[in-house]
Amino acid sequence: MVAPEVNLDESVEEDRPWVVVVWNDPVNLMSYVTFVLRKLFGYSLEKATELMLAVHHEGRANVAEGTREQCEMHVFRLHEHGLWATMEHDS
Amino acid sequence: MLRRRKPPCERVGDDAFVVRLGEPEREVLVRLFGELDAMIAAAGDVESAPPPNAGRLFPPAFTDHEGSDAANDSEYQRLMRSELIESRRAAVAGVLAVLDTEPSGRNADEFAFDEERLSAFMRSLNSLRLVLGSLLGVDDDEAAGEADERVRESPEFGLFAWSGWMLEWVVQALSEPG
Repeated sequence: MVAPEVNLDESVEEDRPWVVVVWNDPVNLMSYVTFVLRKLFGYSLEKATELMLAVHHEGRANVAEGTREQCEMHVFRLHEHGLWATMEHDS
Repeated sequence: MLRRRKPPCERVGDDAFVVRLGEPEREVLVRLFGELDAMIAAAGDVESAPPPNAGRLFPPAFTDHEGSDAANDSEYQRLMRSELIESRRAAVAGVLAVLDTEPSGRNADEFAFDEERLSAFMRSLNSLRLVLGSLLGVDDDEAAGEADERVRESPEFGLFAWSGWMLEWVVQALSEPG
């Protein structure tokens, strides 16, 4: 019997969690960014404001994490709302 | 006599809002949303750069889109670009359907929106600001707050400032409990 070829490196890479990052865009109003984060992720006003301020002052904030599929959907919905969002592997 | 002006956008019921627009504002918005729609529709080819000043409407999906995730980003754009275009165009069409009709409130400048349409108005106003911001070179927080006199006197800057003011009111109205 021949064992199936499995590329362990690729499997491990795919299994690593992803995070969704929102980047600062000076065009987007602070109130708007807070509102969108509350609407899409159900965050409290305090949590959404904290993330918005991190975006504003530090240039970026991790706003969600999950599988690749989940993060792709989050990125899509953030793009629909005009926020500059990307995804990357959790470091 | 001094009178208190009504807000440009407010909640008037569970799923009911009014947006108050004078005829010149309505006309400008209808024209600009038409131009925005054409710009969005022209961004369908993922192999080509989006139309000028439309880049912020179609950002990359992966942080390292020029490096290790280049293939992932290409695949994402190939699969999702058309959905993003469709979603943005549907939002603009929904807003135009309201603004192209006669005002429906008791006053001539009142336009009736439900929550879904007002959310579409919010997203479309923000899209417009992303294009105007690119046109005006708003690339950092300093540029967003301070523009030189020549830029401040341009019609585009006036629209950028007005749309930000209106967007604040829309966000506030949508944030109020129904």
